[in-house]
Amino acid sequence: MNKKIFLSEQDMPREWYNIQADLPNPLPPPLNPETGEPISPDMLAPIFPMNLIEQEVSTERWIKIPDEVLERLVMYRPSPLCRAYSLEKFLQTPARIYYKNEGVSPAGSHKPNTAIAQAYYNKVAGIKRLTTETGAGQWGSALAFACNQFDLELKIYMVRVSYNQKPYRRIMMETWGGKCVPSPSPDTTAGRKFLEQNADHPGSLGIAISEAIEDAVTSENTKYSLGSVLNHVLMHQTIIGLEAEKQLKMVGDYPDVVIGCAGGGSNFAGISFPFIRDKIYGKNVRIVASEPTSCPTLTKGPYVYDFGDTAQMTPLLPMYSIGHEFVPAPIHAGGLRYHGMAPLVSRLCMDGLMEAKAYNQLETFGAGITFARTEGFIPAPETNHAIACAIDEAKKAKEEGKEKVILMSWSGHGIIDLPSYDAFMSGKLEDYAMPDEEIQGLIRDLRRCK
Amino acid sequence: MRAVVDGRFASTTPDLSPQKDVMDIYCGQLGMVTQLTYCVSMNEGLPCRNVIGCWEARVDIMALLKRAFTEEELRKCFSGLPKSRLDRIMEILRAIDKET
Ligand SMILES: Cc1ncc(COP(=O)(O)O)c(C=O)c1O
Repeated sequence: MNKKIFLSEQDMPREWYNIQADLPNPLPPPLNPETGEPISPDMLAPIFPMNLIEQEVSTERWIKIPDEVLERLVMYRPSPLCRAYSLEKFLQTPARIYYKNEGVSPAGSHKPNTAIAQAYYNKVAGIKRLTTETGAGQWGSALAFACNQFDLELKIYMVRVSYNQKPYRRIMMETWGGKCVPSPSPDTTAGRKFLEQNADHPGSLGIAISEAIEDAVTSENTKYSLGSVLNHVLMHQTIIGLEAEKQLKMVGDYPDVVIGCAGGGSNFAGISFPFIRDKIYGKNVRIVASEPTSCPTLTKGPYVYDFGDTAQMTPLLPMYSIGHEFVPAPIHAGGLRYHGMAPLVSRLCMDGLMEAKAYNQLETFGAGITFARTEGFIPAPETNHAIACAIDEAKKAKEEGKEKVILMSWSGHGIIDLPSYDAFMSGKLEDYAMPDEEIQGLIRDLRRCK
Repeated sequence: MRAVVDGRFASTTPDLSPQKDVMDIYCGQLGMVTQLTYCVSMNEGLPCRNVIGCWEARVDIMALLKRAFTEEELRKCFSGLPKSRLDRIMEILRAIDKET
């Protein structure tokens, strides 16, 4: 029995894989929404160092991982590839389920894989200080750890409601020397504007982003750092899949299906891009991104207000159900690029190189608990989406009587997210038919506050 | 319903029936459990762009939105496609440029 497959530190990949080199349809350059012109590298220079901007647009297939980055990655890498024997047994599936445990990093998720690289490239570019925003605190804590490694100052704008309700993430950031402030904060023009309107403003991710960018642009020797979506961030994560590829080879396996949860797309890209490369060159492998039904950027499309042909107000409908009539053709063609998802992942989805599945909150927490009760580790709520999908695939293998090999990215642990498990187990995430008087009450509250 | 922490509804949201307690949701953006009141007001008094997808299976969110917000407000909130991260960054940079 090989429960954990360890790669030696010597065998850790020395290069990141840049999928832009192999895309059948190259990514169109991002356009400036105001002018429609391509965004040039110098337009991004106020917020990112040139070395990272170069990576963002690079089409070189392999990019060397600097020794200083490897020295930090080796603190927790190579991460173990684990065989989920207990989960397989519980599901009575002939499938072999492997999970790549990224929860072993100091911050507890895959996020340090890019945080370390970004801190390093900023350091060598002469930057002294970084800013970022964080909602859940996963990214903020990963970057705090990385900045500490490279003696960079860090200021994290954390959405105020999370700041107040998730003290442990904040404490992690502060332990690593990051300065974490609740957003909106009095420290930026954007923050002050919102605080003037409401001194107790709960904040939002959008406000925190504005504050972090404003701080980076208006402060000396300061840049901004982003934990997902951008091409270079996804590339830094490919070490996950490159390691997994070697680990599977050690036990003579190759995946039939590769699964990752997709929020901004970074851990999904990390586990899958090396295998998508194989697929581009003819290998038979399925690649599946698992996302929440609540924000289905790959499986559906965003909810948009349908002006329709009549003056009447029509319901809000998913973009793809109203399709061409509503969305102008050119936008529709590139439609997936317009959401929170990484453009690279959207492109691959449109090109049919991967598929996407959506799972609701109850399904994902149920899957997370099944995992915890079989394999022991408590997954992050985001990771639960990948587990739900892996369980589906394993059940399908059982129905078909096939010995499928399933590889999934176990993107992080959920030890700091236990209140969400509590809400699930106490039935608070269940469906609920809201009585009319409660709706009325809520509307009254809203009107009073407008 | 438990109040939205220190949000703008903390003082105005009445602590109604214990049944309201079941109206929690896990918010992927915040990485924590939150309530419907936050979801319908966090965007400067307007709903979160994701509110429909998050709540449609659980409450008649469309009816609630239509009754609580004017058409203009809903248009402001939901018209057009959501911006990509890069669009958003460029927009913020332009706004800073104009102010300075
Ligand atoms: C553990 C974990 N997995 C997945 C994600 C989703 O991000 P991404 O899609 O960029 O991997 C997050 C985001 O914070 C996370 O913390």
